[in-house]
Amino acid sequence: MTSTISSTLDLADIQGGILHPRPSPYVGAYLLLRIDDRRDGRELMRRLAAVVTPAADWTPGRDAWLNVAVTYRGLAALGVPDASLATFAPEFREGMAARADRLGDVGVNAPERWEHPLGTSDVHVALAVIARAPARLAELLEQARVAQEELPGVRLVWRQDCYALPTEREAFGFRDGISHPAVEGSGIPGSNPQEAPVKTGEFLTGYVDETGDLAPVPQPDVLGRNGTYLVFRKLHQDVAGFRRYLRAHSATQADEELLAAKLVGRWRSGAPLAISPDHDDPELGADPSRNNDFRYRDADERGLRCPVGSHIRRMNPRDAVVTGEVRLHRMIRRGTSYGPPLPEGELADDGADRGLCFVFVGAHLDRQFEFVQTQWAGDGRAFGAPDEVDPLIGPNDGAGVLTIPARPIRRRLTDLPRFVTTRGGEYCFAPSLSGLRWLAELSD
Amino acid sequence: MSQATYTTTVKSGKGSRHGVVSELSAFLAIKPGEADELRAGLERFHARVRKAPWEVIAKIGIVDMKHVIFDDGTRLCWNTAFDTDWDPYIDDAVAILGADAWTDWLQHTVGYETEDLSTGAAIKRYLQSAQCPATGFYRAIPDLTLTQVKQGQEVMTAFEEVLDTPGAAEALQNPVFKPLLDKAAG
Repeated sequence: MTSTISSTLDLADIQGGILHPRPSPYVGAYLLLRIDDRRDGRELMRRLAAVVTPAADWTPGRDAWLNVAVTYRGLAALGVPDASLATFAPEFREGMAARADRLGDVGVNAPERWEHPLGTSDVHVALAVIARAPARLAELLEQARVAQEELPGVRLVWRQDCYALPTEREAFGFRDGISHPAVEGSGIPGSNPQEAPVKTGEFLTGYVDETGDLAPVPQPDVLGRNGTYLVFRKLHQDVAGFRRYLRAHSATQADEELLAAKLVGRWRSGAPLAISPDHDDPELGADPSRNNDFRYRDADERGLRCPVGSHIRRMNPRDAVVTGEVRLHRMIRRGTSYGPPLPEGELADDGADRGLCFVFVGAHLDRQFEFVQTQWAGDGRAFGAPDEVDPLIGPNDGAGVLTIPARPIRRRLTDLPRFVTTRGGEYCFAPSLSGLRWLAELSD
Repeated sequence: MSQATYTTTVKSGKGSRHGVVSELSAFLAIKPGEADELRAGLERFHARVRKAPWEVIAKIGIVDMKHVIFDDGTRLCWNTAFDTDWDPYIDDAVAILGADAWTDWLQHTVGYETEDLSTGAAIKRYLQSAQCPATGFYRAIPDLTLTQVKQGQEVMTAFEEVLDTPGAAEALQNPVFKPLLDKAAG
């Protein structure tokens, strides 16, 4: 079945996961591969080009979807010429681990503490396989295993299962995956009707972006155009610690829910504080036509509803006055949960690994992902609060601060601990389908 | 479609920082005979910044800015300071004020060709090439952002209004207000 979306882009050439929100619920797996023999690696690219889901075929009626991305070392392992490798973005060439200091991946987040083989030279190809049902996923993974046996020069080095619950809740209990921008020319609507579509070049290589510039396209064009950069990060969430913090700072269950909402900017249902400041509104939270339909400037400039320092306001300040031009720092996120949910009401850590597989999609690693990570999540100067960082994902150390504007007087938290720890990640490039075919046809 | 040759990703790492504020110092050569046009362009640029609403200045994060033409009209020194780091926000500064506002004066400096340098990425690369690290950078109040200074100003105005209200002295006797009462004497 082919999509009927009206688009000016070549949707048959663009990987579907770049432009389309994921279906929900689903089960999936991230697979990381190492290429030991470039001929087998190229054969892998040829086979993937035939089965990757293009944006044109990314329809709700499907039962499975596949996307692929390649690291810088992966491109080198495939034998991409040096002259071509040199045309990729410097951040991508360096890789995530090499940029740890800049990203704030230090201390407990440092690459030397990451899960093996994340951040090492073994990570070459990343596959995201998702399906509606576990049985279909198992079938796909079996097909992949058989295919891999035929390609001994390609090794599976890591697998992370993931899922989106029917409730779409992430590990802390909040509805996730609500907000995504419209990409100009894609014909796919964004989730905020009050946000104009963002220029194509913000999310796809080879198009004019929000600066009015045509950023450098990795060369040759057939490899670099219609692709995008992709950031993968495995983020451990201390769910028990989060719950204990809420409990220790609240007098009642209702207080706990309000405090949780103030940290995040949304109630657990997904209902935004900007629209429903005093109580949760599950109907609003579940309504995709309304749950992201808001801005800050007119009704909530001071953050009396949604704190200026809350997580979602940092990730996307919308029309609020902050240092920076917001449209230059938009991100497409394709995050998904991993690990068993902590049973409801449990306050003790059970030792299980759970959290978020964060995926960023965008054409500008530096001024999108790295900017938001360092300037808006890891720093408070842009918001006029240099002592504060993101209360949910920021590097708080037990003395983290969050100001919660309120009448008659504001509340100030001064003992925020770290709730999220980086377990590893990598920068990848997701080529177009013709880019994959070009990689397949490389010769020594 | 032409292929841009500039990258937005290179960081100069040349700006010094004191507290929350970072600085940029750049030295540019003036095209022969164009000092007067440069001067006029800079006057327009500064007038534009001065007239800009507070929200625009806050979005750019610009703390101060000065341009000095020296060496008999052959060179330009540009010193400016920002609430944030300079490098990550230059694209924003160009986009917010508009590339035309920058080109209006930058076009009179050597190496700046308007047909090539009309985008944020290009302007950033050009400025970085002229940037020099400050040997010393000092701000008397280094730990406050513009937004905090503005908030402090508003709080002071509100406090003065309280002090001008009959009954203020009595109301401030409540022990809760002791830190404010200590500031109320003048």
